[in-house]
Amino acid sequence: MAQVIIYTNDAGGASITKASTGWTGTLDELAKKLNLSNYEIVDESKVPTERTFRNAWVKGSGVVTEDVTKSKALAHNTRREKRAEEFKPYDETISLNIPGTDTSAAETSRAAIRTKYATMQTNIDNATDIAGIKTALGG
Amino acid sequence: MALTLNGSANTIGGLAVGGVPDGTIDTDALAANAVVTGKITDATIATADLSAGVAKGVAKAWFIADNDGGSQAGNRNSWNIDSWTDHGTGDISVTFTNDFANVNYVAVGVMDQSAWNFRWTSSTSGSGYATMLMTSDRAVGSCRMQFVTTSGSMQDAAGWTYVFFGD
Repeated sequence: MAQVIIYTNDAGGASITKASTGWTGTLDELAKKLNLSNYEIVDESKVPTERTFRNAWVKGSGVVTEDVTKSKALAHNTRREKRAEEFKPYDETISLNIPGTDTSAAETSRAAIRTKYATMQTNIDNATDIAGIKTALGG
Repeated sequence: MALTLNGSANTIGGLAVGGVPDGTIDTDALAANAVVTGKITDATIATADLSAGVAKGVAKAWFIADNDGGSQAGNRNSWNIDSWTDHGTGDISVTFTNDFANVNYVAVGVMDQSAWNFRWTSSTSGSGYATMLMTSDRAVGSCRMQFVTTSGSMQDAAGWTYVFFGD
C-alpha cells in the first residue's frame, strides 16, 4: 500500500500529498520540501475514498476522517441547491406571470417541493453518521 | 598497436581512444554537417543546450492524474512533478522537481468531465452550470489549481490535465 502525507491545511481541512514516481527521496524529505511541520505519513488506506463530503475531511491521529458536523453543513448546501433547481421553473411561471400558465398550480408545486426539502432538512439534522446524511440526501 | 602513417592513402592507423586530446580538433576541422544526431547520446542534450527560442517552446512540466491523484502524483503520467496534493473538492496543487525561474510561467489545464459541466449557460432550464478552471497561488516551485462553478463552489472532476511552460 502506498503511503501519503496528511496534514491540516489553512482552512482546517485535511490535505493529502502523494509523491510522484519521479520523486526519489523519502516522504519526510518531501514534507520538508513542502515546508510542512505538523504532518503524518500514513498508508493510503487511512484516507477516505468516497468524496461526497470531501471538504468535511479532517486529520485525526494517523487517519483522515469525515467530520459529521461539517458534512451536515455541506449536505444542507446541496439540499438548498437541489431545492432552488426544482423551484426554478415554477418561480419563473409566477414571477413572469406568463399568459396561459396556471400560477396556482405552480404555487401548489412549490409547496410540495418545500415540504419535501423540509423533511430532508430534518433528516439531515437528525442523522448521526455520514451514511445517515447521505441517505437523507437521497444518495 | 603502433601508430602507422600511410602516405599513399593519407590515413593514420593505431590511434587510441583519447589519442586526440580535447582542444586539438576544433569546429573548423570538421566538415560541414559532419556530426549527426545519430552520433549524440540522448542524455547529452539538456534543455540548457537548446537555443532560447527552442527551450521556451518546450513544456517544463506536465501531468495527467485522476481526481484524487490515485496512488501516486500524476498517476497516469507526469514530467517534472514531485508531488500532488489534494486540498479539497476541486482543489489541488503540485510541486515541481526543477523549479521555474520566476512565477511568470503559463499553466494550461483541462478537466476530464461530462460535457454539461462546460456549458456556459445561465442554467435557467436546469441544464447545467458553467465552470472555470483557475490557477491560484502560483509559485516558482509549486502551483495550485481549482475547478470552480459560476456559483463559486468547487467541484471535483474525473481527472486533471495540466501543462506548464516558462523559464
